Amino acid sequence: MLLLDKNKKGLYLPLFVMIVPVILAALLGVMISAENDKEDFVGFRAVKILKAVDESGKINLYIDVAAEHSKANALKNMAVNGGYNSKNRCEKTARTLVDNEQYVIWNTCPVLNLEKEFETEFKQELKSLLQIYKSLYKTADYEKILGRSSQNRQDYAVFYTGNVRNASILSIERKQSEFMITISDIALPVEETADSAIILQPKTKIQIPDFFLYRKLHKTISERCINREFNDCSAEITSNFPGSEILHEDNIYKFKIPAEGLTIKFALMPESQIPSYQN
Amino acid sequence: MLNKKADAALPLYLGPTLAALVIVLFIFSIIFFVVGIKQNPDLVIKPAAYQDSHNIITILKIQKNNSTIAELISLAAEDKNYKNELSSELVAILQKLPKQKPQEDLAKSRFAVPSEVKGSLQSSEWILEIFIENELFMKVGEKPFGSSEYLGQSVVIPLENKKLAEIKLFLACTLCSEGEINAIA
Repeated sequence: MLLLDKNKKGLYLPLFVMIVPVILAALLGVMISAENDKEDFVGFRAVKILKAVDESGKINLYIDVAAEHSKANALKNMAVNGGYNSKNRCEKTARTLVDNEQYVIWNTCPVLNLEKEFETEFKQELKSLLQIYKSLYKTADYEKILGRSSQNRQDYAVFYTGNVRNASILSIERKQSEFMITISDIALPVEETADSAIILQPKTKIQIPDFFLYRKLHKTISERCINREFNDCSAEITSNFPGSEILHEDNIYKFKIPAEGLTIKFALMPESQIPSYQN
Repeated sequence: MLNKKADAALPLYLGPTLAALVIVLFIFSIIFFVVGIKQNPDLVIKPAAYQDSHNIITILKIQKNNSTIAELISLAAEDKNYKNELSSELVAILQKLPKQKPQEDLAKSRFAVPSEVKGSLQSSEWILEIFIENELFMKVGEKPFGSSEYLGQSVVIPLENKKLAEIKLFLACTLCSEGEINAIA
């Protein structure tokens, strides 16, 4: 003991032996806590990004299909409204016992611009289809993959559904024989990551419908039905548009013109002029 | 060189100190080994954990007679005459998707060892189901007996009548191992 007291350098080895367990215990503590906090596999983060990309593929498909259906529905609605969009301000015929349907009276309508009317109707239809979107996104099964449940798990399908439903149609541009439709950006947050998101900029296109039949109909009506006898008008219409139905009620002519699976429906007051046709 | 004072005391505590150090290191090496074993054994994510939807998206975009399969589904929902056309198109498409085939033919085998028996019993089929407003509208493909579902994919598309159709595609496979499924994925 006397020797030890005098020689403090000799204490280094026992001191080292005492410190080693403390250092190792601290290291063990760090390892265990890091392992408990770990919610990752090699590739797991990449998979989360790929899942968001996959969701964007599904949304793009939905928008492409929705655009085609919107086109078909828009044409149907326009036909029922004599070429105008369904929120037009034209006057309509009253329902009668003979004919329970209402017809847009052409003479009370503004200039007939079919492409503009189509754009308006198409936008309404596409928006209504975007508003029923439902994401099937499944959040990663942490129990299965990591062997433990994850805290604060969020349902990303709700985010994605909401973001698609809130998207709006920014523009419809004519490019040769197609309409290019641009939809507002849709953010797809990457699962369980802070501030990471894939920004989808959806664009789709549709073939511009051919309004030749409307042009021909407008021309025939203005030349052969305004200030003409009903029989003359009727004969001209049925010869130019086979399968047409024309009714004469009071002082109004009612037309039903078949056109590629649709029926163009409108009414006419033969004494007054009809709105001009704009290309 | 030997006249340092500490060196004179060293023999007194060197043995017990070294013994204590060895014991400490031994105990901690065991603890670290156990903790290491308890760590996640599969550090690399398995392909099966990620199931993308490329197959079903591609199928729905296929053009048939001027309309896509997605549009054909919409037509079939409105007009039952299109249902048969849609069904036959989907059967033809599903047959082209890769799947697990029986690996062994017991008729050609001299000895029916367990691996050959398992291989001969393996069978798989792609199944496609279409739900409209949560009701089954069409199912293409038959699930093999005792099969489990793998590689599930699903997508939602709108119909012209403003309803939603949910299309599910999965591989129903009997006696398929994870490795074989990963190879298909």
